Amino acid sequence: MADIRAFFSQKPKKKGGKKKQPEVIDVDSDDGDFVDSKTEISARDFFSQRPASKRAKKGKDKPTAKAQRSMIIEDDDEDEVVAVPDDNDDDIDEAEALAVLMGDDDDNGGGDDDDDAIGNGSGSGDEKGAKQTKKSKQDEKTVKKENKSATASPVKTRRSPRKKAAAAAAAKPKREVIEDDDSSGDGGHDSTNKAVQGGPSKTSPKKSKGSTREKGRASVDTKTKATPKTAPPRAVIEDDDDDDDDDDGGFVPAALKKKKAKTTSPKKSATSTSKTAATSASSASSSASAASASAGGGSTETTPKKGSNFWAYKQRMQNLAPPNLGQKPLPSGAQNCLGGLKFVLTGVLDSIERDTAERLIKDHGGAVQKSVSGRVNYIVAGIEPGPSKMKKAEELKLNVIDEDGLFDLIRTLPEKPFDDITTGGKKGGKKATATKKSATTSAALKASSSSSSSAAGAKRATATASSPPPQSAVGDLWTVKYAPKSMEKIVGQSGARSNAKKLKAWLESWHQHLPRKNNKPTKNDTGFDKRCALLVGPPGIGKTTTAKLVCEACGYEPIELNASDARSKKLLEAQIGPLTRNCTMTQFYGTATKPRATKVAVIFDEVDGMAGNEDRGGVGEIMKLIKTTKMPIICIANDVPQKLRRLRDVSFHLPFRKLQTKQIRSAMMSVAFKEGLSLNPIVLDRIIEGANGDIRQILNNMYMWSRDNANFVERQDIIDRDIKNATKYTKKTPWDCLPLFFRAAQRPRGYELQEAFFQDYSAMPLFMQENYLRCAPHGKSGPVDVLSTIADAADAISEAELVGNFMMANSAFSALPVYGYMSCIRPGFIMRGSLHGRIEFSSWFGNNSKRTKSRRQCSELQQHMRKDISADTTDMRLSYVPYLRAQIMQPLIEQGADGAKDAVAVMNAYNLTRADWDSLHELSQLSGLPDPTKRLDTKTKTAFTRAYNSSAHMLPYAEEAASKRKKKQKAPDTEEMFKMEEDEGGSNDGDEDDEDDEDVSGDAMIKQKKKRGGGGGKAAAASKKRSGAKKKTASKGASKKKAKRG
Amino acid sequence: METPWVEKYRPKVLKDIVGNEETVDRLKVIAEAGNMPNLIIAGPPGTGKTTSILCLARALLGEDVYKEAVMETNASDDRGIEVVRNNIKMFSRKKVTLPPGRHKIVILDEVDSMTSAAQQALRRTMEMYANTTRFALACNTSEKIIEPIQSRCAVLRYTRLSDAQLLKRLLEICDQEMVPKVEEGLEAIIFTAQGDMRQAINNLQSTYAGFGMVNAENVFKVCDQPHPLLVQAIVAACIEGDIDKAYGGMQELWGMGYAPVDIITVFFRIVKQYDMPEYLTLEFVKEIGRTHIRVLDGVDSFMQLTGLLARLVNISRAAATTHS
Repeated sequence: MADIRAFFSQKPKKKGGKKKQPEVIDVDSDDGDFVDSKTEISARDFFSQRPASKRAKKGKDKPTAKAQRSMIIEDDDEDEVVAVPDDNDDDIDEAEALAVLMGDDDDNGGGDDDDDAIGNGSGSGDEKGAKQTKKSKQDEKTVKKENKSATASPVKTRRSPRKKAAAAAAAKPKREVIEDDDSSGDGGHDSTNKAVQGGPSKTSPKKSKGSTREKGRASVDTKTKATPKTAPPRAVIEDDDDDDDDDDGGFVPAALKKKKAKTTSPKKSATSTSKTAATSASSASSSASAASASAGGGSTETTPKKGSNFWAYKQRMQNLAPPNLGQKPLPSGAQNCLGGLKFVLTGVLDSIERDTAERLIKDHGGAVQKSVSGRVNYIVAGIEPGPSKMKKAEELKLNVIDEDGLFDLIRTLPEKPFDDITTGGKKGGKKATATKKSATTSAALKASSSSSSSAAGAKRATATASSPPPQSAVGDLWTVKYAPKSMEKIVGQSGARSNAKKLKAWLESWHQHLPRKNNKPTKNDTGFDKRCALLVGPPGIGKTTTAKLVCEACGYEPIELNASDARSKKLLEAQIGPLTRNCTMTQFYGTATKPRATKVAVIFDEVDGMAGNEDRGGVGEIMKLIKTTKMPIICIANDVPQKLRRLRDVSFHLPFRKLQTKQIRSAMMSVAFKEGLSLNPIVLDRIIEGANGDIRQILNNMYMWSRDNANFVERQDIIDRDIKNATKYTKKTPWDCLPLFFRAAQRPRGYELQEAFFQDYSAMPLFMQENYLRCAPHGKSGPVDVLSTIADAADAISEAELVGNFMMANSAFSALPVYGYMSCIRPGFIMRGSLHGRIEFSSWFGNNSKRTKSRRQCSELQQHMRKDISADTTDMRLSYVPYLRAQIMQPLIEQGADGAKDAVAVMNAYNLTRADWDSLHELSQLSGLPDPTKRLDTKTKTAFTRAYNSSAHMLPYAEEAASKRKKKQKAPDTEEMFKMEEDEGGSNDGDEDDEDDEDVSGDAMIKQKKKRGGGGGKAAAASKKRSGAKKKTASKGASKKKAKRG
Repeated sequence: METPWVEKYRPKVLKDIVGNEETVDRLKVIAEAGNMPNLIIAGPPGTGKTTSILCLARALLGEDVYKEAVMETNASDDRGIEVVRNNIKMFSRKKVTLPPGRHKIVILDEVDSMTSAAQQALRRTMEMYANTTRFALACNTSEKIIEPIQSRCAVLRYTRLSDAQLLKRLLEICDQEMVPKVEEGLEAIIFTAQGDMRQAINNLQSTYAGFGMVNAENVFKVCDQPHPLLVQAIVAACIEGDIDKAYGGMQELWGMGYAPVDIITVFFRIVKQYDMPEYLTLEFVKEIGRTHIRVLDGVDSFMQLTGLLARLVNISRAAATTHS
């Protein structure tokens, strides 16, 4: 346990260390500033999580006396170790505030921190930090071990599951080092800190909070030197957390639990935290000190890297997500029950994220402050609370509660009149903050977005802080105005494993991986083996934005083709084809402002929108481009319909999921703030859910609704109605609809069922027919009864079919509603009961297309043979096909390769092409019968193909059609893509040779050779041998074609 | 004959629009402040969707530039994917000098009749030229609009107008046109219009033009569907098993000269809403469906309709015996 403490104790120290550093960022002490930064952060979420650097800038901008104090952040230039001894509160506040800020950021999504750190880190700290990381990691490890052995480092255990232990680990030791410094060099300030930390350890008797605090203070001075021992306050908090864990039965190992059971039981009551701290602290102190000392010792040399501390801490905070996120129900209390109360949040709470907590408090009328002051009523402490905050809280004898305590408060406190918060003490503060806010926001905005209107918005906010008027924008849609301007700002794409990051990694390494021709599929999902990325997801969650910003971030110049451009095979071939092997002008000419983009990427937006005559063959062409492209291709689609399946297979598939409410919340809040909307999280959540997480829609809606009233909170009723109205209509699938028809209890009303039918009136009846047997009818007395019910249902379906067929045949769609009743509602009603098993896709579609194909093959065969036979298609199939097939197969089976000649002779006699031979097999191969082609070995097949190809065939019909057909049969998957344009005719000029090659390679009969030849479309190797013969046919075909065209 | 009253009395400014006040209020704010977002107005026919958009466009742009800066298309225009890619995109790119906060407007009436491919082609256009061009879409049902388009727009929904709103407007028109009327006549018009202002006004005008007097009788003469109440009576008789009564009712309807298709359509509509066991409803519907097909097939004799009645009566009698 002690070890654990020690372990934790480092954290606080780290802060101390930071303090020393000459500050950079001043966080202006007052609450105001923090608030600002906070708001800014939320803004940031939307735009980015960009924080630090910006903040740092801000800090620099307004250096004040305080600035020096603020100690945090990385070392900048002035290396003076400002001792800042005296100032206590403010400094600490700031430090904490910063920490808090950091914490916030982290919550939002990390990943960026590194960047930031780098950005800020003026050299020294960072580099060193980097070096040090390794060491520190080791240290960390040792610490960890100790922890474990000691008993149970709850926190530890908890954290480790939480991914990035490593990063966190790196951070810690550094901190410690610095701390050492601090203790010695940094007078009061540090000492105070430590005192806080150290205090409790000494003062085991602290049962009453008050006394504890006193003692803690008293001991400050003495403690100062003792540096490493500072764990206790941390410990307190940690213990709390542990409790929570226990409650949730989370990750805490049993041993831990035991321990906790001992120490923590009292803690459950929110305010009793300090007690436990005391007890545990005392026991822990000795070992803690040892542990920390050793840790400190290990890294002492590294002191100079102060700079990295803060970031390290930050990073660690980032890694801390609420351990039991979402596991506790959010409390709902009386309206405004927290009215007039002020809270400070610190650390990572147990089951809710910080902004959720803030919102919770604000929803109930409470105010959330960033820094501890005498006016604050409660400190809500989570895991790793800011040490200085805790210290100060103790000094001021504030109530420290944990998350459960907060929930209890909300549940138990009575309702208060609303005015309290709006007019009361809060207002003053609010105004003060508002001005600042505006300053910061505008600064932030300038940095982050060039939109002029936002600055104006900020100004407006300043002018009328408490109730800004509805804004009249300067003519940008919010969706444009608040569009993310850099990668980090894309909502929901900030995580390390986010699609944006993956895409970036893919894009960055694209050129490295390109040269490998046949990249083997990579195991992990980096997509490095693919030349194209496919972004798939519902609208309004930033796919296009991601693609563009990632391109930008990687220095690519995107060329976008979207559904508003015609993208037929021809156009793509003519325009994009060369492009993918090309350079752009900007590659040669760059301007000062816009440096040359050396690389180009092609973005095919809305590939699923490629439809109709104009886009004919577009998808196939894209596939072709992907094979040869010299630049990355990014495709974007809403979903992957059948025709895009193959595209998905050759692409790096990045599915975008619907964003969760909480991911969107803060971004929207910041927009609301900038636009002067009064909006509370409750309403916002409803808006978000109403739009189904579609950010663009949310912005559009909020814009629309704010036109005549900017106060969403007061006019909730109207907003609610709007939400309902605006709820995006999403089409239900037959799978969703079908169960409705079968429902026995609470039968839906007729019109509901009819609506379900109309979701897809052509598919629903088919689904009904496919699945009605999966329903076990209710209330039937026996198998006979069930059977007769099924008979009734079948009868109803067939009856409906009569209506349906008539309707379709005569375009008599006025009967559609009747058809709906008869085909779906009635059978469903008859079979009503419980549906078992999966609802299957109607097999009719597959069978129907098979039928169409067979018919086509029949008529083709018949056409080819008609000179020599006297039969129509039916007769041909029934009387000729079986025998003809046997006739051709026989020599092959009997004589193997030698029989090829005879087989070809039979085919020639009937004017059959090689493709017809395939059709013949397909047509006559009935399921369940042995397949004679299986009896042929590869050699024979090859020989046969060669024999056929080696001679010219005098065909009494135009071969052209046949050759096209041939192709179709070859690649059944892609055929959809190619078919269309081919049927169109004339779309593929000039590359008959190619085609023929492909034909051969694609041929089922010589598959193996093709494989050996390798290489996607180029089966040259395989076809080389017979290329001579081929060319003959090919050129013949070509000349014929030309003649025809001419 | 004079211009149709629907055109003559089509509101010119937003404040004259009847119904859907809150939504229209927002449009008013936009009309003043500018910066119109992309809009979808969805709602049943005759509730003022197109009118609202036209008024809004006019208020935003003024008559002078209206012609140049507004592109109006409806289902009567070719709006295939080519048109979207060429004409609409061209228009979006066009430069028109407008005051700040004003944008060119593309009005797409009856979007639900656009193919989804054409809508797809619209997607990026809506975004890429957002700084110069905004889209206003009107449709009856937003489900025919692909989701990405919905996502790009603020969706406003219009509801059917209330009877009072219809009446108010009808009275205004009656006053201006000096139409002789009785209360029942207007009631009948409102009943037949079912919240559709356009239909109400059209019926008013037709009745007035045809008969010079607006009373219930004349209105029903103009509105040519079999009266729902009559059909309802027939259905009730069928359920009771009273074939004579049902036959009488049908004879009456037939005598009025309604087309068999109309009769059977109304019949179906009544049956599916009629309060009876679902089993019975479905059996009835089955028979109606069969008859419907025959009628559509050209066998639209009185015999078919009475045959239907007989079968319906049989069904309900059989149901009654099994239940009792």
